[in-house]
Amino acid sequence: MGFAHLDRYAGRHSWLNQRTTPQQRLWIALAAAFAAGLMPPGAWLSLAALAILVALGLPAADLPGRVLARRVARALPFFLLPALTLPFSIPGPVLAEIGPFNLSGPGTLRAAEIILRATLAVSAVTIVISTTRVTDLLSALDTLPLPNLVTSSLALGYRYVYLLNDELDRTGRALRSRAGRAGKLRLWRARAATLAHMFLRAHDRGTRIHAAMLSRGYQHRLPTLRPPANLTATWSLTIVAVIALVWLAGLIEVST
Amino acid sequence: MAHIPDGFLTASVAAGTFAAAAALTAYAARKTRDGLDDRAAPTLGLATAAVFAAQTVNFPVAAGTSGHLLGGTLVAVLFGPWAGFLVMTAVVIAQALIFADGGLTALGANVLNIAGMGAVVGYGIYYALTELTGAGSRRHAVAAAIATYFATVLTGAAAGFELGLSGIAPTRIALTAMVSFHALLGLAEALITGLVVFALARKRPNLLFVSETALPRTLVLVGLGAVACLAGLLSLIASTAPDALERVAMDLGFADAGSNWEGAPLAAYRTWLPGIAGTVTAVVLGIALLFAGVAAMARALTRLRQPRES
Repeated sequence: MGFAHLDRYAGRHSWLNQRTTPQQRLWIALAAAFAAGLMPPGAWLSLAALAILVALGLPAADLPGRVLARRVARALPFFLLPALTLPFSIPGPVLAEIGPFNLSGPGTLRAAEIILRATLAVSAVTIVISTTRVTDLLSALDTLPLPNLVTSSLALGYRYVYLLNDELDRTGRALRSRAGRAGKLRLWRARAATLAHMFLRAHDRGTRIHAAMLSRGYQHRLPTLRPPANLTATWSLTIVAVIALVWLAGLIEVST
Repeated sequence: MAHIPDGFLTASVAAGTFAAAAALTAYAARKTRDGLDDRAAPTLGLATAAVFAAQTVNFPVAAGTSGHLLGGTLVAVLFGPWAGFLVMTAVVIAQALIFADGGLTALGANVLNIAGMGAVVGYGIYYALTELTGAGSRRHAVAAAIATYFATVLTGAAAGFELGLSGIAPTRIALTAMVSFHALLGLAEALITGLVVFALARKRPNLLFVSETALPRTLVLVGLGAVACLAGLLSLIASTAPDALERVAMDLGFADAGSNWEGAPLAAYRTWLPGIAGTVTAVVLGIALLFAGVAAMARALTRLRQPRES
């Protein structure tokens, strides 16, 4: 299994990539997700403004629209289905009757709003993150106030997940060629044994890797060869400020 | 399903869960450093990789659908509750940032639900059960499976509670939906975890994490009792939700005016069958519909995607 699929759109010389560092892009993603996710209910104009901003991000990041559509579609069922129950569960004047179910006006509005907010947040994060290499993203995460153990887990996890995946593939192939046709419960037992074997090997590998890291002078921090990009924060600050202004406008829109 | 997306939580719930998750993460990092010292980084890194890899192994369920391990309680049984918490936190962050699975505003809530309930609470139940049952690979496996089941249900309960607090749906309804969904999901998760722990305990029993602090037996019994009470309370809420809601509506005098409950799916099923049987049917049918919907959408989407991404 290759690891390039996550970085497919990362190397582009887009408007965004030339003006911001990975760390700054992470902040932009966070700002956009928070603005979309926490936009107060009923602030339709500001939500529309945010949608325009996110749409502008597409050409700025040089990301093909169908790629975004595909990645959003993958996340879609997880917020579409819970949201679609709202028209039936939030009380209010009845809009329409579908069989035994009543569609309520406020519920439908609420569902539409949540779907819009979730879509915007997912789109913004996808646009910004898919233009950033995972390794760059991981070292950018190091600058967030996260415990060192979490970021190093992510970095080492990314480094070794493909290896373990290949190992699982091999054991799976061996299992299929030897086990023949088995009932469902036997299959579950066999797959569970495969997983147990993988966890065991991962544990042993961790011990070996620790020895190797120590012999190379490991000092509680994973080194990176890539020099930090030397860019001023002007552009990223502007983008974050515009997003923050749109969110503030949403607050004002609701209160008036 | 356990991952709450962006847009579902209000600012106050997001802020509260973030604060709690941050405090727990800092505590977990300190505890893990104390226990594992220098080896912590590679051990946790490999555990994170193993959880991600394990999630790609499919277990056939029924009618062509399949599920995979989530892994919170399993990691805690292997590496300890706090190391497990950090591993699951890393997994949740990666899912939110790279795979758009779960929102960034809901990150705190998702860490609490998946890492906190899955690893820390799951391990607590596992620990208490093994104290009672004693050693042995089969006993460990059964204890792990039971702990996983309760941890999964509690994950759902926490998510339902947060959604209810955010005003997405009335808390009882959100709680009912999430708890009953996870009550089904937990069966598969518990079975897989039990089988994996059984295989591991046979192959290399010393790999299972052993807590250094021995708790007094009374504390263990009290803890287990509390969990059992909580589970009972949750099932009670789930089974009486529509009735209780109607009661509240009548008490407040808006049973006819504002309430749409008679038109809600639960109420519709309840009118066909009386009493608890109707409620149970409603819940089961609702979950089945949800499952079928998710499965159909996921299948349609993978079919759409396949030619490009193969």
